[in-house]
Amino acid sequence: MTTIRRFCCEDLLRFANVNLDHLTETFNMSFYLTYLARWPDFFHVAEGPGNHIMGYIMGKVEGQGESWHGHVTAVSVAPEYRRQQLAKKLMNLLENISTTLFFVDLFVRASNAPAIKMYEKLGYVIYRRVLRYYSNEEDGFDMRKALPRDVEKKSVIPLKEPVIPEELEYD
Amino acid sequence: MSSRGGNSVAERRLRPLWDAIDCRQYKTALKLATSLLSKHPDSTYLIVLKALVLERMGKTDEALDLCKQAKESEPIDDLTLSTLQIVYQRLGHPNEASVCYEKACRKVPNNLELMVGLFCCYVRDYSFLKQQQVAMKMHKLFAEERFLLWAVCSIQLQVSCDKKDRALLALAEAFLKKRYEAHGFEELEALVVYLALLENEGKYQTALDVLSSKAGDLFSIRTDRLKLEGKLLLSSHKYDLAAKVFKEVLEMSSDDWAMYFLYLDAILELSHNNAGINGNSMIDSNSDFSLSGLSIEESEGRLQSAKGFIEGLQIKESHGLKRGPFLANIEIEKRRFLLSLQGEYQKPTANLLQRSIVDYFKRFGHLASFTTDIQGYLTLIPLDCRDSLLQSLRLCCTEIEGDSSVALLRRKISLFQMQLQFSSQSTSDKGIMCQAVEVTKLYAESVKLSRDLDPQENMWGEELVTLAATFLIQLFLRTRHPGYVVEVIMLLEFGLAIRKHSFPYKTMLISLYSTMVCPSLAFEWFKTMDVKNILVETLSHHILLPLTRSMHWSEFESVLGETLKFHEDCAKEAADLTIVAYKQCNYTKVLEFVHFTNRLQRSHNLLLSKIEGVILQLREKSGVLDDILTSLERLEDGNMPLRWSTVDNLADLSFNESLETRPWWSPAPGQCLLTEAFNQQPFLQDEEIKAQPFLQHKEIKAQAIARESNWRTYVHKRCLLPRILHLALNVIRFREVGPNNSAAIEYDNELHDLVKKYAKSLGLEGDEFFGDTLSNSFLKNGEPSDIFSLVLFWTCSEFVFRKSSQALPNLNELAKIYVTKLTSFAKVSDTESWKPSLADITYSWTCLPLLLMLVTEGFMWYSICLQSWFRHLQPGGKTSKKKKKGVVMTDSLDAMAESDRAALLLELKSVKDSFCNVLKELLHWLTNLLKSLDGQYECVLVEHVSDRVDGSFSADFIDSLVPGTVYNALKSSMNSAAGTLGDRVDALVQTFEVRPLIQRIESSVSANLHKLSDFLRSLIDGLQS
Repeated sequence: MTTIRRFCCEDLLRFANVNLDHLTETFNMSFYLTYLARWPDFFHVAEGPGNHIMGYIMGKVEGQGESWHGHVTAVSVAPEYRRQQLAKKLMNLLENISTTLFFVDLFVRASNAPAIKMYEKLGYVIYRRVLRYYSNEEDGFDMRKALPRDVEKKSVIPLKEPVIPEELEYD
Repeated sequence: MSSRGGNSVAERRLRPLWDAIDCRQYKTALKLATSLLSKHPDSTYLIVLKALVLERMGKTDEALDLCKQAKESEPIDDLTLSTLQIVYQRLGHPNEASVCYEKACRKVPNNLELMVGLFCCYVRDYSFLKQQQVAMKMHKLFAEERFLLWAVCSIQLQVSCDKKDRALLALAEAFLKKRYEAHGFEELEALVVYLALLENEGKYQTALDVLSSKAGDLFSIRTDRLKLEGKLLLSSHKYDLAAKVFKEVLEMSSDDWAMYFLYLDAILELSHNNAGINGNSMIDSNSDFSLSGLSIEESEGRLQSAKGFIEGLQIKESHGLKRGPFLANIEIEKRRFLLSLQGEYQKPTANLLQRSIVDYFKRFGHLASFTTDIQGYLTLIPLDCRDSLLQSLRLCCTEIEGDSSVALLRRKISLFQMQLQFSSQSTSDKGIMCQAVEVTKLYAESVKLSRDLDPQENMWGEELVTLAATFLIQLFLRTRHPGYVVEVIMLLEFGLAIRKHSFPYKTMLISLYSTMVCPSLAFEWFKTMDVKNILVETLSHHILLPLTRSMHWSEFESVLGETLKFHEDCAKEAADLTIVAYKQCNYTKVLEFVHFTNRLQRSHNLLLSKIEGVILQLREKSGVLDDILTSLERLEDGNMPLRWSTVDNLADLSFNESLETRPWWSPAPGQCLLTEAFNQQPFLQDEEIKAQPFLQHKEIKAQAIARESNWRTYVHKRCLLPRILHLALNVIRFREVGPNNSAAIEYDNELHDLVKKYAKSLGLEGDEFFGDTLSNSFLKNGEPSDIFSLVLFWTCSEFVFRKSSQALPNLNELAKIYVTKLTSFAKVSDTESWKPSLADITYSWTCLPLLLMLVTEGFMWYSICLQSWFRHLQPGGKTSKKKKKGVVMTDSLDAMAESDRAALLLELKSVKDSFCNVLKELLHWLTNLLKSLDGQYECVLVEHVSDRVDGSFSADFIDSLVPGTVYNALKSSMNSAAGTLGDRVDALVQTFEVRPLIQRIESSVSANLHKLSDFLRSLIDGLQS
């Protein structure tokens, strides 16, 4: 029983139960508002009975040519709504917004084993390791899932060597 | 300057300068800019770049001079203008940039780039009418859809923010109608704006026609279009059609909870006045059957058929995790039950409602969200049916086959949560204790089951600790035995040692440590929640009030500073992001951003932080008069905070706190069931809250209104303080100027007026209450510090203008009364240490924060008033002559007869000495208390609280009803499970000790009180110097 709708500013005042999770980053306001202003279709919230915020997904589109892809900036589910496949539902939503995309990618902390496992279940593979990607010097994984437009699944052939943040194509 | 002069320097020459700015190497950038300028002195662009560099270096005056120079050259190229705009914006003069663009647009008419630049300037200025005018002009010239929509948004903003006539919306609608009829729409967002305007005008049919036209194809997601169609049909009372559409949506998306409500409302013909196309409409059931024209029988019949439809959906979802169709069944039974309340069929429908909950439990009782899902329905279960419902659920737990251990555990947790929701005052203390023991044992079991989970994942039974905490707090409320509070702390700390990220534990601990006057420990846990950015706005309430009432001022300052910075950044960035939304054609976001920014600017939390920051600065001066005078001067003699809290500003305050994260015993800041009322609590106590713990608090509207009203009064009271203080400090100067002197009269009137307002904020109206300020009935009107401050300020007026001789001695008497009351929980002397009873301990939780406020505010204001008055009366202590509204105020000494002055000085000296003695006695008491606390408070707590905490447990302990039993049960269960919990937890069970925890509590209380002692000392020093 999940109503999924576009995220709106007022939700920022109501998502504390989701963002108090230690692995969910609370960005500054201009970050959220930039996403809302530029990619409102890629920023959705799931609401349950009693108007409780169950979780949300925040993403964007970027790239050129065969690199045209969706990017998941954040996906988070409140503790009491976990293990109900809500993250899967939100990820699928983002993957299906546009047929023009070649793949979807995301970054995850190398130490966040539960999340990596979940993304793998959803069809994501570790495309490359990004050294010291996070502010505490922790490595990140760039994980990708090829979408139907990438018929040969070229976008998800893993790189053998890790990269450094400066080598990433996008912020 | 020539038309190209603004940007005449070759790009390759500019590149190093740009790079230096990008790399924030401003010294290099300045050198480069200066050098380039010497070669191109006419380049306005270079002048502006230099201004930009200077601004970044903090040389604002020089930057402003250069901007002025650039402005005078009237640039017309967008690069120069947009850079100039950035510098002006950063310098706080955004309107200057608008003027530059206006001039450029006049000089080069019909230039799109410049017009867009001008439009953006108006967006930054929030000049909605001007925005509209420029947008219309651009639309006329270039006929692009986006400019028309910019104009429409600007009109909508004029109506919603500038309170312009709503008739303007019809104009906006007409613009879009014309566009739609002539060209259709290019963007979905344009269509949505048009539909919202039609909805606003009540033109539902037109909206439906537009939606079903080709324009509707702009919706790429079919269900979105259908949802909108259904809502519009519902608003236009076409119930049959609406129900059909909602059914269609549900068939495609059977988990969409909001759709179920709308579907049921449609079949029951419950009207909706607003489809909420553009808004974030809350999901809410409309169960007001009086809105429906259907008979009870007809409604019942329709609900039956809806049940059939939903059962069909359930079959489709029989193997999945979609809760929608199954919870919808409860919603239908709820509506049938409510419907039956109007007839005679209550019992069967109540049974059906219960049965639907049992069915839901069978299917989803093992989910963590089970209780939250059904929470709204539980209140409807009649009291006499609750036990049987719980019994049925218990049976389910044993009957359901195939449940894993985890699922069974989860079901038991859901059952406990429901039990808690149904708990009543009639449950015995022993019954509560039994439940607490049971849940902690279950917790031990859950730790075992969670051993293979990643440490970062939530454990299977995390809620069990909060449940145990809830039961123990219930016991505390019944017995007032402080040991239960300490025991809860022990459980929560232990729980956090096992899983360090559980935030419900942390918020509970923050509340408990604050209650026990351990602000440093509360703050430590608050810090671990990583409250930043928007969370500062929604979560600071956990710590703000506890820090206000503590001596941990640097921590307090940091929280206040973060709030101010958050709001400052938002205010700075908001308009630029609105511009992004305009440029990206996300028009609905434009409106949303402006409204949201507006909401944040009116934030109650922001106002509270501003005024508390100001008052904190005064408190921090520890009675040093000159420092306080300087601080007040910066606040325009206290006038600034008065402007913050005008009637309009207070009425407009927005409340953004996320209160559902608070523990149930403290549902809002200032409301806490754990501390006892001292005379009268500052905020309303709700009897209902007292009676019933709850898992997730949801305020009813009346509670929210009362809470917000109380906070308005509170913040108003705080905003009055600096100005009253300024007036109070200066009263002597007016004493003998003469009763008929207009400035003195004005002064007296202002003070009198503000003191009356202050009194009103404490619930006192008129002057009659000031008859006997020492009477018990008067003292009951508020907290000691507030009442003392009020009497002080009233005394200033009386003492100075009406020359009441008894006023000041009475104030000293009041100080003594309060000190006696607030120190009564601890009888200590040089020879006698603190041997508190249980009641003394809990009473200290009430008294110590109040004492702290009395000393650092009430006594402090009094102390500096005395110092100031002395200074004014001392020979040679003349204040400078001040001119006020054309009247030269002669110094008091000039006008005051020498004999009067001497008498007054004598009187003041006696009053001051007497007050000093009160402070010294208090300091003496505090010193003795601190001596007692040193090592002994720990013993006291151990004796009263954790005497039995040795890890052993037997069922007999429950009968004795002493704190420590539950913790023992937990430790005992954990010990017996040793070896199965995982290495980390096994080691933890062995090493976790209570005594260090209690030592930390003692140290925290002591640290707070040591700081209070230091403050008292400096207050006494200030008075004696």
